[in-house]
Amino acid sequence: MQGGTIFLVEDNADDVDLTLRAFKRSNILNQVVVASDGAQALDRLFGTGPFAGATEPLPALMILDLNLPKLSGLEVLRRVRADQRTRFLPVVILTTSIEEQDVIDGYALGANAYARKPVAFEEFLAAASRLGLFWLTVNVQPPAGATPSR
Amino acid sequence: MNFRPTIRAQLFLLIAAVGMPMAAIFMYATYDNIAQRSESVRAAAASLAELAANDAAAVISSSRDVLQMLATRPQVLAFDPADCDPLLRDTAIDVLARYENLTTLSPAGRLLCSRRPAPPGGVRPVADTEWFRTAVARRAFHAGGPFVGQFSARVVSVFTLPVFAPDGTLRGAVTLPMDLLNYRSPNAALNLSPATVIGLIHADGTIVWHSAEPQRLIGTRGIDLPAMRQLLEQQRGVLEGAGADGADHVYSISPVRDSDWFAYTATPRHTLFAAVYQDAMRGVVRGLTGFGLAALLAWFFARRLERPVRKLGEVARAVKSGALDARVSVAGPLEVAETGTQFNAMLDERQRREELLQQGEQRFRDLVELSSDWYWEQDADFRFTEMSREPHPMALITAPATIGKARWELPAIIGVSEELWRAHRALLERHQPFRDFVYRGVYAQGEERWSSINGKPVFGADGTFAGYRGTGADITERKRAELALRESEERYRTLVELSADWYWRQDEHYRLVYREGAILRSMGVRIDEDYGKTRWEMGFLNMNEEDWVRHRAVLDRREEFRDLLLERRARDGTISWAEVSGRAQFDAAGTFIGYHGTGREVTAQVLAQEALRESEARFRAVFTACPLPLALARESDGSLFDVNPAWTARTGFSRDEVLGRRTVEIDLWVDPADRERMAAILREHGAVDRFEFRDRLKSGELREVESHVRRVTVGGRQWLLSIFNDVTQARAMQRQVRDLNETLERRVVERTQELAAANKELVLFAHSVSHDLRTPLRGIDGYSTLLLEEHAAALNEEARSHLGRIRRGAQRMGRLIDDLLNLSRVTRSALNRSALNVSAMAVEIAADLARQAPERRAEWRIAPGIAVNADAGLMRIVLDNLLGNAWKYSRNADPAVIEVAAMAAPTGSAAFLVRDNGAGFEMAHADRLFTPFQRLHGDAEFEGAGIGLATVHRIVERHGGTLRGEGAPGEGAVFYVSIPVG
Repeated sequence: MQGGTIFLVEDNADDVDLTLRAFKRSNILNQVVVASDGAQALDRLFGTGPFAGATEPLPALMILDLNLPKLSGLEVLRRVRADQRTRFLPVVILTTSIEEQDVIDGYALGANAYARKPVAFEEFLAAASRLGLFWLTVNVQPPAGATPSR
Repeated sequence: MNFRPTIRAQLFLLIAAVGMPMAAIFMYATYDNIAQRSESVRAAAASLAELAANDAAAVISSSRDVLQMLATRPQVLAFDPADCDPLLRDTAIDVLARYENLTTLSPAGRLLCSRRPAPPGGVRPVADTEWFRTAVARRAFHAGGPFVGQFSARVVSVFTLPVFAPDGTLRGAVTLPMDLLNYRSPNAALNLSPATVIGLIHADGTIVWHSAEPQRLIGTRGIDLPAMRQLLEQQRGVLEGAGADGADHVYSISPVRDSDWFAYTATPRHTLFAAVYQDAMRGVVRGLTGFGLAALLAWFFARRLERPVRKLGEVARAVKSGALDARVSVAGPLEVAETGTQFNAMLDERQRREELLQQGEQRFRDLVELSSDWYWEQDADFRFTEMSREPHPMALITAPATIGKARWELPAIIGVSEELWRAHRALLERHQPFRDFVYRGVYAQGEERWSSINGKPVFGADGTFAGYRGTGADITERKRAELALRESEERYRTLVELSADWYWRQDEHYRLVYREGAILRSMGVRIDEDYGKTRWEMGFLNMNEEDWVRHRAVLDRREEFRDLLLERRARDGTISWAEVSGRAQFDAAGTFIGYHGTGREVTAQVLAQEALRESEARFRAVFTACPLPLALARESDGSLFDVNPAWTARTGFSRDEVLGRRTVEIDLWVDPADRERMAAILREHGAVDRFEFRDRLKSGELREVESHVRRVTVGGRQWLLSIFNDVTQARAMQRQVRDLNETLERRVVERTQELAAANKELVLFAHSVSHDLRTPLRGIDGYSTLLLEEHAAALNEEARSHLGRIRRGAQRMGRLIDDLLNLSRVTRSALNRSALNVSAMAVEIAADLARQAPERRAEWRIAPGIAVNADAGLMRIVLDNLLGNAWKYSRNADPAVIEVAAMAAPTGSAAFLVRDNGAGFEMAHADRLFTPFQRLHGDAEFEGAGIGLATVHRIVERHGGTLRGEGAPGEGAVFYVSIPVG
């Protein structure tokens, strides 16, 4: 299990709780940082606003809900991908909506995966576990600060 | 060729047939006789030669005996010429009869002792003679060949016996020369026939002796004769050959014992066979005499037979050539006489019949002559064989002159064209009867007369064509009358032709018999093509049944008719019109004999009239039938000249009310200024187009009208043609449409906005449902689970059960929300059609389903290659639902059988079905199948939201297709899906 934090952007406290429980049950012991709205998420990532000056390292994985207060999840994703620092940050959209347009937009904006939050807890557990395991262990990340050659 | 031998010839033939074998037998007998004779002659010759040889041998033998006896005498043996044996003298008497001498000779051939005194000149030694040398050489007796004795100068044969000392040396020889001229062959001579000669010949070919002419022949070379040479070669036997005189001889030869001699005989052949030939000659004479007699008898009998038979023939010929009373004299042998009698009887009968026939023919001729002028017959080549009498007393051609000629070979016949002759001959060739063949003939003094003949073919008993016969009549008078009539007609016609195009004449049955007029040809009409037809049989185009009935009524009343207009189509297609006029004709006795009259060609006039009429009618029809109102006005005063029914119908005015009046007079213009404006345009442009104004109908109604005006010139006068188009309704509708369009556009904008808003709302709603409704559910389920798992100890069984129910409720709601979202998405999402493989999709789904419940036994029957043209995502939902349902409802079937198969579909569609053997449903409730949240099974039975089939139905409808379900409780269900291709 690699180190590095999981950055969970989720406004619903229940969902945050359930997600954390799911990670825990799946033995994903990485530190989970939670942002409860889109603006906060960006501030935390880029060290702006209330987080100015904080020198947190980039998380290993960002789990992003779409339906967020202030800035929507898709907007957050757009900004993350637009920034040189975070353009390779693995972002998994974990949301209740499986509106086709949302899925398409998510991938179009550079989401690495799109998963749906199931209603049944067992399924939710399974989904969270699979996501964490894949993105934290299996997936090979690009070197920090790397840019693609032209 | 039919060769018939005469009786005489046959009799002679008979005699010859009998005589020939007899002659052959006779000849054979003669031949046999000659052969036998020849045999006996040869035998006789052979034996004669033998006799002669025996005679000669006897002489030689006795001579040897003498010599041998002498050789025993000592004085002889001494061979001392001084002491000659007296025996030489003693024996002389005997010896001299036959021998010339008796000598002894020294070994050197010198004479020692001689019976005869030596001749004055002495004798030459004989050492080199044939006989001496041979005897010495052979050391034996030898009879020598002819030799001229030195003592007598006669021809001798010297018999020599050489004498040898005991030591073998020659001591000398004793010779006995035999006088050959005195030689006789006594035994042979006894058997000698006068013509036969006998002789002896030495082996060297010299004749030793010959019975005839010995002086001449002895000593000659007999071998020079070919026959003699052959004899010598043969040495014994008989042969035949040519003698010295050239005649055939029979020769025989036989060797003479103890010598080199041969006895031979020669007999001229003719002497030998004379008797045989004589017999043969006698036989021949007798035979010939017999033949002669037989021939004589045959000739006689033949004559007796032949004469009456020939007479029969002569009489038959005579009868044939007409001498019917000729009869045969009954003579000759019985059969011939009987034949003659019967022949005569037959002739009697024939004469009787002939007379009957002649009477019949006479009757027939009388009848013919009464009914016609003459009677004729022709043979199969149409040559006259009979002409009852001359066609006319003055005819140039007499009846006999016509015999053997065909009708067209008679130079006096004129007035028959080549064509007519050809037709006539063709008819004859077909062996058809003919009637009234008319020709002119030239008669004495150049007079021409008309004849009409009838003829009928004659056939033999076996049906072969035998010729023609018929009658002829002089019709000159009739013809002349006709000609005279025609001439007068001609004159009349000439007058007629000046006033008409042609002249015609009909017989009493209205049949056209004549017409003439140069113009007919130019009308494409052959003068005679309608001859024999009535006018109503000629196919005039413009006349119908009724017209003809009327016309015939006129004719039947013998009334005159004028200018009957007739249209006809000639064979070359030319249409022509004629006017005919006619008047009835009566003969002197007042009997109706037909109509005659004139015709006039009026095609040009009729066509012109017709064209005019037609043109007028055409334009009148157009004017009348035109659905648009038309008005024709005089330009001069603007008064209406004509209006069409559409005009009167529109305005309500009748023609009578408006014709001759101006439009202002009938108060047509609502605003008279419009009329002024229109007149100005007309003046300026010469025409008016789309001039709109309002007019007033008779009823007072005001209408809007659009008019066009054209100026036309007809017959040198100016007219105004106006056309009106009532546009009242069109204008009103245009306005209405414009209003409606405006309203509609406004409404569309409004509705579109509403719809867009609703849509947006729906999307938001869906989003909200998707997100906001599901989130609490997840909390409920999540925490229920946590409660169950982490605080299980604190909960009793009942509490756990309740929590389970909460969880199931939450999860079911989640599914309901998903289904609802699916349904709404189906409605909202865009349709991207592509070619889909339903079979592959079904196989995939089936595999998923089977994986979820591996314990179930199921049989999937998915036909390969089912294809539809549809949206991939939506079709996936359709199949998910249909197969999912099939899977779900066949849970209790073992095994479950689920089938996906292609179906026949209407053109332009693809169709398939999904069938299961599950719970099925009541068809009575089929109408609820596709309604959302309507379920046919309780949740306890089969869980479900009741939205799957509604979704499927929505999707299929979005594709323009149809979905249909069939089922029965417990028997399974089947769903038919049909999707249009486009």
